Amino acid sequence: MGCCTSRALALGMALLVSGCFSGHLLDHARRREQVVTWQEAFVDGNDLVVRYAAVDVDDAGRPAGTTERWASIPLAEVRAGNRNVDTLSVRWLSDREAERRRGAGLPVQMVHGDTGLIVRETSESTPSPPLAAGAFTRLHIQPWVWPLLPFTLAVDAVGTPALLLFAPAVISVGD
Amino acid sequence: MPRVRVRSVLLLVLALAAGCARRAPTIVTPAPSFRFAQDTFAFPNETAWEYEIDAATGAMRWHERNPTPDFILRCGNMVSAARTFHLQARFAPDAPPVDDAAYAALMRTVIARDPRRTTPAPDPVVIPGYPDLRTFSAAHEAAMKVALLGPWQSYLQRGNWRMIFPFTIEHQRHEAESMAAAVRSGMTPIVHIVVFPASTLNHLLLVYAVEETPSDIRFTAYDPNNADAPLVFRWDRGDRVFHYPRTDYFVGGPVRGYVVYDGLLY
Repeated sequence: MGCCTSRALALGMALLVSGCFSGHLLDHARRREQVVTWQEAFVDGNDLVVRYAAVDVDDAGRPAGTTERWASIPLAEVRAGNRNVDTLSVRWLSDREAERRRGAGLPVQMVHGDTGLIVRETSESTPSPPLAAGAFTRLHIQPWVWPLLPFTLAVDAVGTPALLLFAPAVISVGD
Repeated sequence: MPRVRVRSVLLLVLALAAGCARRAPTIVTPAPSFRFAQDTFAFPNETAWEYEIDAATGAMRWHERNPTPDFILRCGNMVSAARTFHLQARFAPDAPPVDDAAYAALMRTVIARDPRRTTPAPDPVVIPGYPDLRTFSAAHEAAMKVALLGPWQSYLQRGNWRMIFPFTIEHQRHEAESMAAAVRSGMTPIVHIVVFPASTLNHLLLVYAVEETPSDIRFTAYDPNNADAPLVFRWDRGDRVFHYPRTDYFVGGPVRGYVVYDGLLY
């Protein structure tokens, strides 16, 4: 019985969260922090740590604020280059952690290339391959959405069955 | 009802609700490459609205065209027909021409064929006297516009049901990667581009070329609203969203996309 109840609950939740209102509300609350300018970079251990200014854009692509952010990425990935940005192991750091690591870090020279960030670990070393700024795009959901979700889930509980009836009608009549 | 059947029904309902029904891999037969200058229509799908972009703010305003153009809201008709001509018709420029009525019948025959076919037909309809669709549709524009049927073909496109449901990032990434794979294998997927619920864009494109970089996947597409040049939109790997360029009818920015005229549900 417990097993069936939990399955039914899981099914119900899956139906509701994928519902029109909740899903579109979450989309509306989604923000993308995109790198605007590189400000600082240093090597700490096996990582490259960078500080950058970012613009926060909403899901329609409209600017919705600016921020500064710290992030680290394994040096091996920077040196290798030419990897898809969504496969890179970027980790965002708190200011506190970044300041702590900065104390032990070795500053590196940054070259602001059109195609991304290029760093020279020492004055003698060769420049790294360009690191595309897109690797540091950070997606997040605005916190104001969470208190609204119970209401939209309730609306979806009513609306989703109607949409499910509607969908086969479009499919069967369609072209 | 047996328990297994109940589970199957529940799974189907869940898949519909989540909009995550995925297509099985298609067995690919090499198709001739799609050429924009030859395999597209000589005329555009006109827009019902006239759009103006404010140069200072980037905002877009629009108002109804007066008089309303005759050939509007046919983006779905045009991209599906362009693919059908590409895969299921053969142009024979050296064959003797036929009269207008025979050409109109040939157009109807091609357009009546299955628009979901993604590989070349073994029995293509032969169009005599013309080298390609561009030349053919230029010479018989009025008849072709009639053969392409009305806007209801776009309104009632089978996959329209999907646009009202939200798209997860993972779904969109899957669409981008599977579309890229399809194009690399020689297919020409048709993609429905939407901004919903804002409805600032609701359009269909035929994708025929792809280029990948570490930052994005760039798709080159036939945009039926523009007979002069292809359109390039891209999947941004960092933003994890499709980006549509600024055009005469859209201000440009993030959009959702999914492949249609493909399989039972789309």
